Amino acid sequence: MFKIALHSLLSRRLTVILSIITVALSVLLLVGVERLRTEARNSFSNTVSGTDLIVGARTGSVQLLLYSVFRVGNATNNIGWDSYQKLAHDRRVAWTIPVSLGDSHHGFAVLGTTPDYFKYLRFGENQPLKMSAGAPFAKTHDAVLGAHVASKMGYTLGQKIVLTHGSGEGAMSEHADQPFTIVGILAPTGTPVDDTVHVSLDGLTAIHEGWESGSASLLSSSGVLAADEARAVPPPATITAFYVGLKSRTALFSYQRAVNQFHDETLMAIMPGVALSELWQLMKIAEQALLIVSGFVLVIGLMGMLTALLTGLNERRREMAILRSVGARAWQIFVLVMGETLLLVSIGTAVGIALLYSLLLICKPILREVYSLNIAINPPTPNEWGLMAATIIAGFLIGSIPAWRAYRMSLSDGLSPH
Amino acid sequence: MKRFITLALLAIPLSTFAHEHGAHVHGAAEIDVAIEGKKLVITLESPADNLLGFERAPKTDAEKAKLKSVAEQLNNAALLFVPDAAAQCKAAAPVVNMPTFKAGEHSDIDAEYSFECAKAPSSVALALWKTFPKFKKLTANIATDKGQQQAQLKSGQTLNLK
Repeated sequence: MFKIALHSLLSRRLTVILSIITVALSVLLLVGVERLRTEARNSFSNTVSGTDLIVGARTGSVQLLLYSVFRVGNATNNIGWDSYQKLAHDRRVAWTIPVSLGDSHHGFAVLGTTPDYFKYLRFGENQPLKMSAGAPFAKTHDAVLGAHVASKMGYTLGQKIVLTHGSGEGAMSEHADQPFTIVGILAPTGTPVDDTVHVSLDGLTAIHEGWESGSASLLSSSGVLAADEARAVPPPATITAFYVGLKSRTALFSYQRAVNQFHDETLMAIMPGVALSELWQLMKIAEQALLIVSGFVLVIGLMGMLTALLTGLNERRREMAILRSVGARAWQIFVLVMGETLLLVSIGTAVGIALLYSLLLICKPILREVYSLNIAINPPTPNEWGLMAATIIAGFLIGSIPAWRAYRMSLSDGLSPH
Repeated sequence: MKRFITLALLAIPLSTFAHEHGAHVHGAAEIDVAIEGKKLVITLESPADNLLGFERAPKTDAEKAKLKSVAEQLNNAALLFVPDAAAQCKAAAPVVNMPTFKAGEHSDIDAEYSFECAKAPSSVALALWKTFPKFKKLTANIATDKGQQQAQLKSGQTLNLK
């Protein structure tokens, strides 16, 4: 019986393969959308860990989070150094990391900060940053590279690099007079840190001296400023934002209120986790729309399979009748057709998942390169198992229609064609 | 078209004003929830209307009595927040700031509730839905050992801290 069924399938291989491909592609889309959604979320949430608050100029909280942590978009305003000093010396504060953005190096963001960055910044499950080579910057013209910057550009310790003024599109304005020496390379984190060139705030101040008019002055291009490494650099006038770690979490909201009501400057403090929740809230509608569309694609795929099965059934009247004549019961015919549908849907689902994983493997470096989105190749989540189970249950329901018809026909049909 | 532009221009100073002073939406309120070890702190910030039913200095005797009874209710943590029994939380005396009722302004009430628990609570029942039925939704900003998140709660829901 099983052998006959298999041969029957083989003789119809074109329709069978097409049915499997339809189901596979729909499953690929459905599970793929779900996968991208969860992976994007994980990638974002892994980036901010252990930071209680982020303080910046007053804008939307999502916007502040995006530019200060993910380098998406630009700051509307900076924070004065005096304000930062005042807020950083609050008695509730354990540590702060000042962050100054704006310059770039071959498309990678340059971030000015203090050595506290390497001491206090956390990612993933509260993991500290690790150096894969060298040490944090100590001198004005030292630079520490993220893992991806080093691997993509092929940089090693001791090499000199030149920073570009601004985002790098107007490539003429390079800080060529004051090159930075690579003193450290960070271990990979899977966060925007990997795509960042870290220098000291002093370094950023030094290269921008005499740049008030937007281009290098004679003094700064003469190299005089660069030569004297020990020269005291004045503190920067402004920074882009700063991260705050508090001594006690219970002081979080009172400190946040203090920042939001700060008199010298209009600032805002955001809880990164809460801002992320707000971002997901914004994205929810788009995500749901995508999920609904891919759900419909699956339904259409299954309908296509149903059509193929029902048309095939008419052509198989003789086959069924012969099966009956050699002793097959009507219920066996039902099971046969049902089993066939379930087999097709299961193979389709498996092929779809296999396609998804191969696509993820292929697209991983591309997503990493173009969108800085880190996709981990993990086994399916419970949600994804649920989607697969739903697909097979839908296949079961759909398979019962041709199975029932075959059952009825095999009861009424004789051997001779009508 | 012209009318639309005028309206839009009128709306600009209004919206910046609202921003500077934080949102004030009747029926909604914000709670800030922080857990550090065994300590739970909840801050409630709400338009006075949700609790009192009016937002100006009380005029009638009934309104004066209402103001007094609401202040008493707010000073009893058990009428607002009930951490799960397994955590064995003890409430400290709340800090309640009743509104000052400046003319022509919205009034807010804020209150802070602290609890010392035997272990970190996994949920907090919101008795305030019953005590103050004018609350329709709450935005909860949550910070615990496991991270930060924001939750939107509708009337009757429990605050989950897992």
